[in-house]
Amino acid sequence: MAASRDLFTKFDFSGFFVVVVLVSCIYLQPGVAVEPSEFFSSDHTNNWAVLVDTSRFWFNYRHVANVLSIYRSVKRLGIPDSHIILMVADDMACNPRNPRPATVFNNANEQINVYGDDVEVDYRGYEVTVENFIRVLTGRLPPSTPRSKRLLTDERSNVLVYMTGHGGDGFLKFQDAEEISSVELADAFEQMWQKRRYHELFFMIDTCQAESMFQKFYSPNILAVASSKVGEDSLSHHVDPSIGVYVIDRYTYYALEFLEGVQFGGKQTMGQFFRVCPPSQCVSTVAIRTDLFPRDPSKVLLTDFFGSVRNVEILTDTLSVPNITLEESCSKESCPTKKQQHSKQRLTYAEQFPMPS
Amino acid sequence: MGLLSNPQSRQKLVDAVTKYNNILCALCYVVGVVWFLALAYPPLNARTYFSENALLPGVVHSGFSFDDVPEEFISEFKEELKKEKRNVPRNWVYERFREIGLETYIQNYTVKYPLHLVRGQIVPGQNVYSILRARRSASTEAVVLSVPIRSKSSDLPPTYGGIVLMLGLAKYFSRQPYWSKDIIFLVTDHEQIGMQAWLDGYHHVYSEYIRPGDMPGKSGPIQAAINLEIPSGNIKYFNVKIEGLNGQLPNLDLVNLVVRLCQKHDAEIMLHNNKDAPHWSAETVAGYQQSLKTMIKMMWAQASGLPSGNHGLFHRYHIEAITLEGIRKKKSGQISLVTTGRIIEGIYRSLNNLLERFHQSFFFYILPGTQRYVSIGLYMIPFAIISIALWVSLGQEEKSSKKSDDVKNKSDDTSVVKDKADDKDKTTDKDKATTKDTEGDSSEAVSGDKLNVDSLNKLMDEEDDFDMEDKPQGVLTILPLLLSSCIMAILCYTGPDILAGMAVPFKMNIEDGLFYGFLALFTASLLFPRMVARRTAEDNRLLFDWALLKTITLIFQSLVLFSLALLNISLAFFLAVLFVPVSVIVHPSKNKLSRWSQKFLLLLISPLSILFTAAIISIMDKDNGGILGLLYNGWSTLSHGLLLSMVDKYFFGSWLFALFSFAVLPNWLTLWGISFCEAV
Repeated sequence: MAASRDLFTKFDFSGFFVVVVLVSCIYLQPGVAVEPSEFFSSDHTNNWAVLVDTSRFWFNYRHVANVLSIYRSVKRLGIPDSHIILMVADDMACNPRNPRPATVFNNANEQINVYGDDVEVDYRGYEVTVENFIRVLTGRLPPSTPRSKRLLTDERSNVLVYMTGHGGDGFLKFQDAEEISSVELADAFEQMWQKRRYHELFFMIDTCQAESMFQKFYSPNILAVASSKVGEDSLSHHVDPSIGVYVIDRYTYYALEFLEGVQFGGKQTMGQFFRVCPPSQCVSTVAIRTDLFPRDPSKVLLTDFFGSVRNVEILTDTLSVPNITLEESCSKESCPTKKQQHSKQRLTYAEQFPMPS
Repeated sequence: MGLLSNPQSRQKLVDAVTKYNNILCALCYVVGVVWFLALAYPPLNARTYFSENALLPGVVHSGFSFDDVPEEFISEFKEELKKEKRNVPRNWVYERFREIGLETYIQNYTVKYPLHLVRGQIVPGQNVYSILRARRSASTEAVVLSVPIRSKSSDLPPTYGGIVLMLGLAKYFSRQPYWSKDIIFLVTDHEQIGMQAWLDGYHHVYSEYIRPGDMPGKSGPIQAAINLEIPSGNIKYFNVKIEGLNGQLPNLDLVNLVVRLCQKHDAEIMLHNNKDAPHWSAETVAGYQQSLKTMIKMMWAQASGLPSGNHGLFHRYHIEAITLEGIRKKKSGQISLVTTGRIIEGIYRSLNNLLERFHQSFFFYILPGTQRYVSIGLYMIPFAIISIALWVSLGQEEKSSKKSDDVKNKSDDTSVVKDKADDKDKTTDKDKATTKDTEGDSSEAVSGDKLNVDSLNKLMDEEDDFDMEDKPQGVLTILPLLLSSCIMAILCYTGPDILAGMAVPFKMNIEDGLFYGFLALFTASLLFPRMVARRTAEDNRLLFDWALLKTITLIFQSLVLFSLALLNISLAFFLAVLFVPVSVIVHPSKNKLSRWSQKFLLLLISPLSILFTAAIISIMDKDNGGILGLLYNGWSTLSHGLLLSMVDKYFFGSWLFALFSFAVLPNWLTLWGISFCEAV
């Protein structure tokens, strides 16, 4: 046990020793010479997404459609359900008012059912509260919380946080009952940073006066984009007259249009993404915040946040991996019989999963 | 608020009010009335808007169409009507709903007429209703679609269209998967009585006169209701009827919803058959006149306190409801029943979206058009200005009593009076001075002043005692008048029962019995000041502290008007317009002309003349054949209306009659008494 723990610590502290032999064919196009520096520009190893719809009620159908559309995109780009925390405040698919039961559409053409076959909603209905949201971000959940409802990120995780709902200057309403303020959100991110729960964080929000939600951020490595400036409303895009509701918001609509063009391993950058939805389309002005982010957004790949592209690192020097299991090679007969020492300590069940305390 | 808390400046204010009393009163009244009427002018009111987000009005596509041929249904229904002249074919309706496959029930009820009408017989009636259960939700909420069913002998326009449309909608709705609330299709008998019986039965309310039978099938609390009065096709335009019992109005969001849906389907919608002023000419004189006409008509309907359709009875249960009335024009009517059905489908899709009861928008408003509204915040200010004239005129009473005090000094020399008045002023000044000085060190001069003041006060007291002998003062002098007007009020309120009881043995028509009874009561009340005078004074002169009585009357009146304004602004406004100027003017006078003109004015605003005028105005647009015919018809409408308002009181709980007996009549009687008081 001791040896293996040593090994883990070695892995943790000696930089980046992971050897993943997954070579993506799409990534490495033949004939293109890739310098190692370009080849591996981000330091993250895993991608997470926290997608939150904070508003309930039938007439807020569009917010559910927003969040499910983003969910669909990030899933398509490779983030698995186990790495997505999806919070949906109301169940539109099963709302009795829905003329198309068990579906949610984000377009009047009704071609894509975003509430498809495998949607894994982690927090639904009245579970979507400010408290739960902050607990998920900061990892301060009760031990009984199942693994699927936890954000198990580390200091190598790139996290996408998408929020949509009804907001105002400095707050976002949750469930018509409470709201999260921009200061609370900023503090939650700071706590995440101090607990080494993210490497880089991309915050995206589609709500009225959305800019106000990221103005109070002060933690490093956060990139943020909002659908509207302070004092502006974010508007819905269009109505589906057969369902009888507004089905999607403008900013998310155009953001999705962009995301649909991104393939697994696509080269689109965040800089391009920030130019999505000019005021002529959005009616509101898209606001961005880059001062906390050390890299140049125009050189940051979109898939650093929206996808999960496994990085392959080629090491030039040989890595000697100690054989921990074969320290003493002997068979049952040849090995000297060891005296079994019975520990006087009482045996307890080990905690099933290592929990961040 | 230094103006009021500082006694010195307050005195100045009081002085100003007392001094310019008459001008202020007249100014308040004129400004108030003009301002109120000016509210119909678009820049002074606001455009209606939706407060309730959940409604999503007109967002959804309407796809209604008839499965069956509506014309066939209509002719079938007419056949059924022909079979029985008096009764309505409710069994036919019942069978049609059963065929659609809905839960259908018949509710039996009985009506016992009050006041020995119909010789105390018990009249039976039946309502048919059918519940479409929402497939995917529990029956926790419901919306109602109702149509009154009218027999051939009814003098109201037929509602075949409504019935056929309801059947078509029921069939269409029952196939749709998206209902979150149950829909109750209700066909009521006997107009409002049937509706009341159904509502009472649904909410377990039992009254003495309308006895609802058991309700076998029920749904959840009703959120909203639409009542249809739709003729069979060729509809020219719709009227949205909003006024409910006692002037209660539905939430403005529901009205907006109906208006928006009609506009979406290019169907013209009006209020009381009055077109909206077109927006390009809304700010011209003609446009203003149009808006004003609509506003006055709407206020008139609200002031009557009568429901303008069957929807009016829902409001009492906090169910928002309106009536959609289609006006048929055989040649120019373009709107078909299918379009009407689509409008109603749209309305119900929006109601289906509701998450809470209607509560976001206004409950108190006046409409100068279907898309403009005057909210309570706007109309209360001019109304308050009108009513404040009553309070301002209280200052007048103070002045006049002071004046009479002065005159009573019966000093021939006016200069003495002046001196005295000056003295008074001085004393008050000195009083102030003393209070100021005592705060510092008290000097001897001050004590000297004090003595002076004391002696003066003593003198004044003596004078007052002297006055008392000649000029009546105090509550006791006005008590007989107050009591007798209270007795009259009680007599008026309880009269109908007694009169109706008496009419039966005399084999009199109840309506006539009541009407003549009231006339007698009114005549008696006209003479009551004389009777009181004979009792109180030896010389047959009516003498009392009229200033005190008028003060009480004015305070009472303003109290009544303000409270009424919170319930039924239209009625309060009309009463204020009539009563305020006369109440301000009335005072005892030595001038014969002034006395008689006052009495004439008072007679003009007497409850009888108000009701008679109202009756005449309400029948004005019908053909009556000359002025005499109009007067005669007005007279019979009045007697009929009196009976109806009595019946409304018993059946539906209308408080119009109680208001007239306990507020308007005694208030008028005291004023009438004041006009008889001898000026001294």
